[in-house]
Amino acid sequence: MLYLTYLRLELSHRLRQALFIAAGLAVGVALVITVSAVAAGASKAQASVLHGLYGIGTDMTITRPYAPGDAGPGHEVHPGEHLDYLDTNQGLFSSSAVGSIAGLPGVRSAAGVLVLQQTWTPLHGHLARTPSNPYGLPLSIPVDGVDPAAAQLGPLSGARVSSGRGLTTADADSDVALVDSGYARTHHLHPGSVITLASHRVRVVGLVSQPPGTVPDILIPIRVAQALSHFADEITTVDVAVANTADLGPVTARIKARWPWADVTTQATLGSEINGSLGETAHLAQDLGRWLAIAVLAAAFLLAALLTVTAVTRRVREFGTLKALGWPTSRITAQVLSESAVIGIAGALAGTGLGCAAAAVISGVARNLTATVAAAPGHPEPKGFIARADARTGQHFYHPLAFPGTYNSLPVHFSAPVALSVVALAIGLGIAGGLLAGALGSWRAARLRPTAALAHAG
Amino acid sequence: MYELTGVTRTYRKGGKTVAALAGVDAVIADREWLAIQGPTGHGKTTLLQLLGGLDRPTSGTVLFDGKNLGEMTESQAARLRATSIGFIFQTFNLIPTLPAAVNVELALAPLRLDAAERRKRVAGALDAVGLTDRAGHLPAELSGGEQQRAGIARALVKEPAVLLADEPTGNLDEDTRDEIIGLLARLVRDRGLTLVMVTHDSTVAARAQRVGQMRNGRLLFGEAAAGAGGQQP
Repeated sequence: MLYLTYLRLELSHRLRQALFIAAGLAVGVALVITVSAVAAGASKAQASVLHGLYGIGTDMTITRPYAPGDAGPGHEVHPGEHLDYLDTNQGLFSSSAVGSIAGLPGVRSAAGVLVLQQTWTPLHGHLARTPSNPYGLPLSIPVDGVDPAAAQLGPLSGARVSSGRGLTTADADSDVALVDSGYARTHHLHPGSVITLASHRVRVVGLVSQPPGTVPDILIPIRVAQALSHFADEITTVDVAVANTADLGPVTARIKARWPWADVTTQATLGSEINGSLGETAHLAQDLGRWLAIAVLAAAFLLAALLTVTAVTRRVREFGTLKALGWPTSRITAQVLSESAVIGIAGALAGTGLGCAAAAVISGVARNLTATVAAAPGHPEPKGFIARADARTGQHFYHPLAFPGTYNSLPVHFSAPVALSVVALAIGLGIAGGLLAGALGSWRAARLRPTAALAHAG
Repeated sequence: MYELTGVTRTYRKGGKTVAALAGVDAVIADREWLAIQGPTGHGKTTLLQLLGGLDRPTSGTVLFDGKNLGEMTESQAARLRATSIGFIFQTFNLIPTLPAAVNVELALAPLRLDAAERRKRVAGALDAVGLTDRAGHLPAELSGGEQQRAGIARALVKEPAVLLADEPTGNLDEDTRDEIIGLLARLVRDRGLTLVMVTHDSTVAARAQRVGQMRNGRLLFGEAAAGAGGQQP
């Protein structure tokens, strides 16, 4: 076909320039794919961290900041084994708030959580010093009281049963527990094992795998937790799912209007607090990476346009001759557009390959990043230790105002997935770059007057 | 074939108005070979471009077979050039990236013929100019004479009614010039074509049936032409 022959031979003649333009477009396209992949990978990794802290399906949490004078045994330290709420940054509030919040417009569901810790405090002196507890400090493990009827929210939503069974609504008042699989492995626990919480025997019904960063080692029904800790009808957290993302703002406003003391935390709030190499990667991809990709693509477009217009200018006599032969302007502009489109397609395909390869290399090289999380709902930042002396015995107690795992670096598996939609977008951008250059060249060619073009021949 | 009445063409150049054609009246008959001579800058090429529908007169009329070229749209003029008018250029104007045969075939693209018909016509045109053996060569691989042969084949392949040649031998040596002019003369005669040729070369002009002289934008014939330094028709 004459049209294709002309196209092929013309591009072969200008191969070096065509490859140069295609290479520029390829770099821009590759950067778009790579940056998008890294950003998607960082978002995915952040989401996995947030799911561990937050619970899958939870859009916001409501807590109450602790205020001096608040009632409750929050600062008391007792010898022996007990299940305590001990948190200088949070307060307790009535579980009736759960029903009230669930009834607000825009709220799909709500569930209460009572965040506790099981503490072993020696009557005299210190606990036995061990490698994991070199100072013999009082031991504590985090225990969450959760609503078995609300498995789609909060801590239960991220817990995947790896052995035994999960909690059901029938367990609401039963002395049963789910244990984190890692904790169970360390302490040789399995479904059927019996543990003691606040000197009370509780049967393990299942082991669960939880997302990284998840705090509680033990999950028990909230009514049981309230009974064992003597915090009847009180909770520390309400986990909320909204009907639509657009409801986040209005629901937050309604909650604050009704409960002015409420501290409302959303995923966006927590997401900005993730630091470490994961945070750095996310910032790099989303800020520097995005602008770099845009700048390179814009430069590639500009270069393609300039080179194409220059090439058309050099072919003035050729186009003037074609007009003299009777070629309509539309045919000439189609020729120029086609040449540029081919270059754009070549650049887009090469860039796609390059971008996918770069994303694969990044996935392999940056396999493990760390997420440093400063806070989690119900598990605030550590504030140091409480030290008290028992006047009767002279015993000193050091009690950490932090739950293990609330402020640490979590390993996160990182990959840079390349989405088909991003590939399609990138290919489209490459072709658009070629067509834009072709359009400018075509416009230049269309404006040529045959007489001027032929006179240009000299 | 052509009827020109009071044709003028003016341009604005550097703030001044330049009259390339200052009132041309002429009739060019079918199958006539008209040579147009004259010094550079007196409007020869401008006249040729008007005859080919590449430009429009500022005033006056240029009729081609009764059709007013000045009133045609761009696409109508392109269509006319595609079917009825063949151009031959001084600098050959072959597309450097395409072999001779494809250069010739380009002239058939606007006619939307099927591939077999195009190939047949191209072969015929190349054969008529004696370039069959060099059909696959790029212009850079052809001599000046061969390139002009390819240019002539490209002009003839569409089976036009008229050939417009702008200094077709201007870039050729004497022997090649004679060869090309001889070829043109034969083809014009055998195919019954009208040929309007711009030339500086009096030897070439002498082969034409009629010679006009361009002087200051006017086309002069006969005694007026002779008085202006031209040949008698």
